[in-house]
Amino acid sequence: MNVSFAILCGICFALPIAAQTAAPEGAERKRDSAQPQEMVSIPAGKFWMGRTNSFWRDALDTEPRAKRDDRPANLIHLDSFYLDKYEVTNADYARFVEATGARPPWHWPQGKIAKGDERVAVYNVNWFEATAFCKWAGKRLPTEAEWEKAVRGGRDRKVYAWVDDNDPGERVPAAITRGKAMPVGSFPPNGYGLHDMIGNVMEWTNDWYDMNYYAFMPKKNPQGPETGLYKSVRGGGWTDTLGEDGQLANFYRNFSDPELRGLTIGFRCAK
Amino acid sequence: MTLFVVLNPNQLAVDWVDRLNALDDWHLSVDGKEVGVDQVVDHMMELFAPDVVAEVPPHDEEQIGPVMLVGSAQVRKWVDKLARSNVQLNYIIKRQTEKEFEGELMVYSKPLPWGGLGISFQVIAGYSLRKDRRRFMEPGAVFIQCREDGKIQRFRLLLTEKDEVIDIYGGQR
Repeated sequence: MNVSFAILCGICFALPIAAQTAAPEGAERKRDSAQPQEMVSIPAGKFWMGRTNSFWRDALDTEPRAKRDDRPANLIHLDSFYLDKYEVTNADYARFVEATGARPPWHWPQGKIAKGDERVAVYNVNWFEATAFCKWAGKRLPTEAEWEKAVRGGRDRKVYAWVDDNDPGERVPAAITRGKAMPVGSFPPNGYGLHDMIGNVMEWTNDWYDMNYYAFMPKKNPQGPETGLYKSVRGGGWTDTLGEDGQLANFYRNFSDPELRGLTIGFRCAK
Repeated sequence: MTLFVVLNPNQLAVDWVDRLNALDDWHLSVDGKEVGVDQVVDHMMELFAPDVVAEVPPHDEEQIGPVMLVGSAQVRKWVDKLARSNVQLNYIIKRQTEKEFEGELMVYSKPLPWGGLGISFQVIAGYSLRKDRRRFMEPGAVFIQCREDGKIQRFRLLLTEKDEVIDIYGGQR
């Protein structure tokens, strides 16, 4: 038997096995050749943005209008993009501070990272500082739509990022409410391989916040309202619980004054 | 000065439906200009107070859930979208015949304790899509709260099952 025939037989044997072996959920996705380090490629395509389910209290009209900012859900198309696998860390931010002279977060003692906190997600940075960091790194903040597609990790129309049914039960990642910001990568990755999208710190997005934006939002690559008072902040933080407001849900929207530096707000960059 | 008017429930309901049905009453000129669309939208918007709060059904298959509209600018967007995307608008208020009464307009009303009038009525919403002329019918209900000057301050349009309408007579009637 010649060698090439043997190789051909080997390939024929292996191909069906490879085709049937799905990558486990949350597994590292294959990197494309242009993929930047420590970033994950989110594929182009459509997804449902916003809340696709009614809550029973919707029908009772007991919910304030501001709590319905996640409705209606819209079928949104996004082009492909990259998103940081982890939230920006103190160590990442220290390099930016050193290179640009930007002010360090006020909680750093004497302007330096507390020992052992290098891998902790940075916080106490406002929207302008987060934007400046991303620009310095050759990136940008994600849009709110990009963030929501990413958090779902392919679990379209689901309430939570870590479970398929709508009852999270006891399976809430324990680290979500540990009482302080944690080192990045503390929680398991989602279906796209992104860590800590829910939990740890909440994250700035690039969009202005408007509670009525979803009613008439563009269906392709929405960039948010043209102007506003607050910037959209997404992803439950370490102060959030499942609660009846659903801060840990994929579609939950929060917002903050872009000038504000908060203990619970950090960010990650997109490209 | 606020003008107080005598609010007639039937008249309010019929006026709302008539103005809605008139939203397709505009045309494209030979050179492709939209003629009359702003006028029919303005005509509908005259009914609403500036601080109106409305809840309407999703615009299309690419939306899920009720659409909350806050303020007349948002309501105008919705009205404008209806005008541009629908033709042959035919919303009908439910009527009932009973004993010696024929075709009674079923409009329910209640004076509001804070002033103004609340009305509700069943509708059958008939419309065709401008893009492909597919025709649909949806039964539903309208809930309106008017201020004392007759302007709509709260408004809810609920539509239930959406059915595509076909012509079983093949247009030979």
